[in-house]
Amino acid sequence: MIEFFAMDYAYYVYISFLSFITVVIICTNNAFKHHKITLDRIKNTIHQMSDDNET
Amino acid sequence: MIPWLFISGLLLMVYGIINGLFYAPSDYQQGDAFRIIYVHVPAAYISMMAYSLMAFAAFIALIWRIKIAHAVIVSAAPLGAWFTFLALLTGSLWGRPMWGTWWEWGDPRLTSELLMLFLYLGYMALRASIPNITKADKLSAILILIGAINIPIIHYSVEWWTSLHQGSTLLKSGGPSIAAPMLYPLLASIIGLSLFFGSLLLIRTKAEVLKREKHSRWIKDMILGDEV
Repeated sequence: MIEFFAMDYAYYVYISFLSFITVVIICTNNAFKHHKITLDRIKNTIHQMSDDNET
Repeated sequence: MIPWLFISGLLLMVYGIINGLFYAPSDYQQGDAFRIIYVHVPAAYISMMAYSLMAFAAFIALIWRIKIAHAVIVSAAPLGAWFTFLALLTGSLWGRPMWGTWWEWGDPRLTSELLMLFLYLGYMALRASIPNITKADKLSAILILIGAINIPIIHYSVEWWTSLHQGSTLLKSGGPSIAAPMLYPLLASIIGLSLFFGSLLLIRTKAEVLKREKHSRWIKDMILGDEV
């Protein structure tokens, strides 16, 4: 096993891996947030329409 | 299906990254800088795969007018753009210690990949600029199809022209030219990121379909029945 700080070009390697993890987190967060926001909006609209119809 | 894709993709990526970063042997020429391959290659692969998928969906959408194909294109674009940006960033971080430069404008692989990032951004900008959804779908699908010419250019650029970028390591005649302890974590990273991409694409497509079909009866029934 390679030692954490004994790696050649460690700066370039670790920045690359950190940017990969960052992009994965951003994409995951965006996807789930986008889905939740869309679903909440549609639910609100439909429940509103349903309430309006009842009244 | 989405949780399975998400979790299996995540586990394979973790396996690939940990093994690539700490357990794979160093390259005899590039030393430890070669470890960037474990994030650069999967990102570059996804950037091209996402665009190919979008081009295929655009073809289906324009010829057979299948509405869900447009939802797939819209959902894949931001993911593809992020992974293209990541491929360019990690490529640049690899290029600096190996080639002595962050960027080389004359290099066909680098510039064609950058062109793909502009295609993704151009697609999203074009969609955002057209308020009519049907018109936006059609025009942006045409843009995606025209831009698909860039895919073979990216792939074969290192063979057609002189490039700083190394040739293909995995997809070459005679099999991959990489030792097994280096190869397996790389394959795990590529397959893991593909599954992960698939799960995020399904989540985004689901949201896009809900948005497009919000006035449909079946959406109303699903919401009121709490089935979503």
